[in-house]
Amino acid sequence: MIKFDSVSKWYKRSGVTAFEEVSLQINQGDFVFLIGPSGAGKTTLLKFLIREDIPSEGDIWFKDDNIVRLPRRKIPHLRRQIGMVFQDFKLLRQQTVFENIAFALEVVGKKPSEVKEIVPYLLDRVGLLHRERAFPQELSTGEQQRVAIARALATEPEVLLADEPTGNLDSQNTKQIVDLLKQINEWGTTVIMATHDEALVKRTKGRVVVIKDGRLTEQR
Amino acid sequence: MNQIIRVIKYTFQHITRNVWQSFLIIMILTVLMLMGQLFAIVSIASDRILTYLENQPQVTVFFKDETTSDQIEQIKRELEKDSLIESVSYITKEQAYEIYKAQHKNEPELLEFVTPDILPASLDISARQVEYLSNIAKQFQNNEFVERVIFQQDLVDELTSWTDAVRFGGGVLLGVLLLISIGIILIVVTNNINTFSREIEIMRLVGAGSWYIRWPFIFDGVLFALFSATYASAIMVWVLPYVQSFTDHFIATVELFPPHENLIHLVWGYTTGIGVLFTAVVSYLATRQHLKV
Ligand SMILES: Nc1ncnc2c1ncn2[C@@H]1O[C@H](COP(=O)(O)OP(=O)(O)O)[C@@H](O)[C@H]1O
Ligand SMILES: [Mg+2]
Repeated sequence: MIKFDSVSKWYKRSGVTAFEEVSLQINQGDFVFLIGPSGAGKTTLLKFLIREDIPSEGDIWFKDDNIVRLPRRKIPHLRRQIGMVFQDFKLLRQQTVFENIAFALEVVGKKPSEVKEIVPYLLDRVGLLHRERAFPQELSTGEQQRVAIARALATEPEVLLADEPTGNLDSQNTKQIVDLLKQINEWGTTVIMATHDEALVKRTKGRVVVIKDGRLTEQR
Repeated sequence: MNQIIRVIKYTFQHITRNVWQSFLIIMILTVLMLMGQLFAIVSIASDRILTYLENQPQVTVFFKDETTSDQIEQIKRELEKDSLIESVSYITKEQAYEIYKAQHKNEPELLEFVTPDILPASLDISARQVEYLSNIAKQFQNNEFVERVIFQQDLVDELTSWTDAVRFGGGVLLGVLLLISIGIILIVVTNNINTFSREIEIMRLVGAGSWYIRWPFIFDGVLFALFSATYASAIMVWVLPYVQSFTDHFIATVELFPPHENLIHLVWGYTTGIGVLFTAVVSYLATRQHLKV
């Protein structure tokens, strides 16, 4: 479903080469860990997939589209098919949990009546139905990350990208988030999770791709 | 429909998150629009005066009191023989009085001391070619019966140079006003975009189209224009009748302003139309500059 084809990325100004001709195939239904030390290029790789960043060379295929050459006007459609959550959650602080998710649903053109139905359904999936009136700062960081995941699911994406979703969490919250992502994967969504937590990866099932020194190696 | 409601909702958020800024912007834009309106009105009115004068009998000859109407009729007949003269009309003292009365019917104090005797009889002469008029004017200047010759062309020329000056000055002023408004709108829209950068980032990430994100910010400017145009028009429509009765003293024969029933629609319509279009374009450019979508 996703195919990196000899992708390179370098930064002219600093002369840094982040990737050198990396290739990778990800199939529908996969659960993939992307691991590597800080600064290895995990975030950059994920951003390629939602066209937040583009490679210097090479192609990235998502189904039949080359993301690198995708016309600008098609980017919104791509981002509805590939959702992403971030280490810093990116929630709206002045809005409740409900409103944060409703916001994403409005963007994809859901009617107010549909929004009222879908938000509770999404919150139920991440186990936060009882917190819909809370503001983000009233939630634990684990709960905030789950709101972010619920929001990413609002567009019913085929692929969910999680960039160090457990980076700020304690071990208990980490386990909950990973379990949730596993669950989402079992419901049929392809999940790619970037992390530098090797211990976590060791005790969890799934494919493991290591990024190091600008190269990718399949570990498992 | 949903989209329109959404745009209005977001615009409302943008405006209320910066209430004082919004208030100030509307005030400034109102003043700018008032000045624009004033300029437009002065231009239109002076244009009308000029058109009026240009269509008037081009030379008016006023006769001394002792001139008899036979003598004037005689002069008129002679003029009419001249093939270069288009028409000659004789306005008797009584007719002059009637005209004067009609022009000042609302001001009895002006009519009180005026009787037919003190108004002079006159001939309005228009020629087929404007150039020929100066000949006629000269010809009458030394005539024993003639009190005074008014050569309209002089007036037209003088007025034209005067209105040209007004237009030039007004044009420069208008240019400056335009620059100020562009600056203000750019600042406001940019400021709103910065204030809402988080929302914009999230909208982009969940797959909002660029116009979806852009519309509310463009509408910010449009809404300011709408408010300001309405305020400016209300003030203008309130002030204009006073200006009108003032100018009527001098130039009652020319209808300087459109009839009152249409005034509100005209002033508001034009101000809003131009204001909205202008701010929409400037706001759009601001989003082009600062909205990374
Ligand atoms: N604009 C840039 N200019 C130069 N180097 C950059 C730029 N953006 C990212 N990098 C470098 O690319 C590498 C990959 O960064 P990133 O994808 O954030 O790594 P990770 O998410 O694995 O920590 C880092 O070494 C970073 O310094
Ligand atoms: Mg990173």
